[in-house]
Amino acid sequence: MLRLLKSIKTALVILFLSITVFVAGSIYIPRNLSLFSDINDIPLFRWLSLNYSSIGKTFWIYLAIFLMANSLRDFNNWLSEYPFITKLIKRST
Amino acid sequence: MSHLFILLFIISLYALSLSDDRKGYRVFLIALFLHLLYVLYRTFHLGHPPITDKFDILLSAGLLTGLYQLYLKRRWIREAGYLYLLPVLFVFLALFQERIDTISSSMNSSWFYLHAGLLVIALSLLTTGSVIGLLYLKNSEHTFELLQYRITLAGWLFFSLSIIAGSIWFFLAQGVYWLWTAKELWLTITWFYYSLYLHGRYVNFLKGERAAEIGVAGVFVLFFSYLGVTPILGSPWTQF
Repeated sequence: MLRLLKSIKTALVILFLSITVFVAGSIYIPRNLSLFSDINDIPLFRWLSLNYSSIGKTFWIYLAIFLMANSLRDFNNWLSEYPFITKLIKRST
Repeated sequence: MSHLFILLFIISLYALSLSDDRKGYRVFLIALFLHLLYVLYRTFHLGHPPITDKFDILLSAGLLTGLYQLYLKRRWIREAGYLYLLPVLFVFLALFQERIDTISSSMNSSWFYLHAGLLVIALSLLTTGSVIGLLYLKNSEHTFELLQYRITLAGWLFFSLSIIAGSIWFFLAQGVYWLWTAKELWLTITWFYYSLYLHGRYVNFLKGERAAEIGVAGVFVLFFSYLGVTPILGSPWTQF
């Protein structure tokens, strides 16, 4: 499982999915201007909770958050295995 | 001075039509000199670096691609051919942009100039990488594919720095780092796309012609996000 998360191919799949999700977003925003008009004025999670009923038009933001979180976790996994970092960790312990 | 711009376009086009021979190279040098003159004229006319609107950004990026061609022709690529394509393409695209001679007070910031300057370098490098990819697809010479990868990597680095500088500038000007607009989403898509190409190429997931084709296709994503998003998809809350 850990190998899958660290795999560069997984990162490529996440990148590809992120592109798809962002393309969807770039189509949804201009077509639903009244819904998205205040997205830039209030914090994102508050805006999402206020507009939960419109999840059919905002689903791509949830997906984007999920993919970004995965990317950060993958990056963290990769970094923690990087020889320079592992040497530092060993030295400090 | 508009006449100089039209003359520049015609001479660039003529250089492209002459392609590989020595005469073509000389005409290309004349076009490049005119290009430089016009960018200098815009600099003095505006009173600041010509990177504050799309017309000037395209023009400056075109000049840089022309200067790269001089280096590439001497060191790497003997036959010029496709290399004249880029300055012509940039000048052609600039023809359709409005010339804006004033800047808003929020844009008059060193972070904005840094953002726009890095974007000009990124545009010129990423497009140059694509044209070298075309040369590889034509000649199957491995050096071109490697060169495409390296130049695209450099362009991607400048693009990343430009996005960071742009976020800082926007935060200082408007109080936010990011806007949920089609324009911003497509800039991110462009960054993702080139990341995908570079990562895939680095781990040999993408090789040879497939890697070159994906790298070349990046130029369409790049130009769509820069010039196509606002008129085609609409990006109402984006000023720039």
